[in-house]
Amino acid sequence: MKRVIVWLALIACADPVHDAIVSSLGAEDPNVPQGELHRPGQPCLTCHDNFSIGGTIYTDDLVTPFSGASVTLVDAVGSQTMATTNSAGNFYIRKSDWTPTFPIGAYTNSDGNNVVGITVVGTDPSNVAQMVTHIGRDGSCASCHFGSAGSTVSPGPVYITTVTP
Amino acid sequence: MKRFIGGALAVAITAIACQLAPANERTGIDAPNLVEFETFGVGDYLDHRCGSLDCHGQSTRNLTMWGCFGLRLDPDETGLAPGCRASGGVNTQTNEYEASYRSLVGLEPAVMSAVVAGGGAHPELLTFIRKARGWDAHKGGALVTPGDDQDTCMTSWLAGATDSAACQRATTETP
Repeated sequence: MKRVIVWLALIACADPVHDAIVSSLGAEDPNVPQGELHRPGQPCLTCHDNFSIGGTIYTDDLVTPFSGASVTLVDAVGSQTMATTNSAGNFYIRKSDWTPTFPIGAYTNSDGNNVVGITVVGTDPSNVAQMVTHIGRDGSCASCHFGSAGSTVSPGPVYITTVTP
Repeated sequence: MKRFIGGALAVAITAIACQLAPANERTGIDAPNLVEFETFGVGDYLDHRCGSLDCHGQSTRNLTMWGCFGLRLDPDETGLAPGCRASGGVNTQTNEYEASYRSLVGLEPAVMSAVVAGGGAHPELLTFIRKARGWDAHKGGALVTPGDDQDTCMTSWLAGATDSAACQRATTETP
């Protein structure tokens, strides 16, 4: 009887939809230890449910990670935070540090000032990329920014140019 | 004997059913205005507010919005990608407005007809209004308040008197 109860409990806790999504991400790269450098370009919050936002920034070849880019986020009520990309191009913000009020996007606030929800600045401060559409609720950049280039269902990877304008 | 009666009954019901519903019969719908949806800012507001790629900018959703703020409709594969003109992309195209319109109007056609026929007096009969207001479970939460610009944009359109100024403000003053 105990075995049956344990078995039922295990089945009840399983989430086949989530498990399938995790499986679709594939195995870890054996050359990269699990940590802040792993799985660039994948939807971070699929597993990291303690993150509010996470993503990867590339250079304009859409493959090379952009290290040292600063990512500034402003939520729907004006709360702001910032993160910097690591050597894998990854950045993340923990919920304990910042829990945004969605959506995050561009708008004109009550003072008449233009607010940009997400701004990425490269190592050259004149290299700036701004997101003018918005994030409705999904903090994983890669949920929308996927593929090798833009398509009808995705704008492609987030990138910032390395060329000085 | 019972089998015979059952079979005869089934044939009779099928024959009657076929006569009651001609195969070529079409049912109309009282729908809100498509032109105002495209040109008065209703479609732009809904695409901006609801159509991001992580929400209703997904073709798997019952309510799907197409447009430059999210999912693109590109049957000719011209390379149309998410992003409006302001970000170097292409603004929402007529066929995208039409696709979003059909998705919205066709969601609850009978209820939509009733709401429009009633002059938009009870927009809350429509699920998309209740969800936007947070009255029904909505993963995106309560996004509008009755009477604010966003709500007015939608309800004025349903009432046949689209408040384009409210739609414009709703699009620019919300993230």
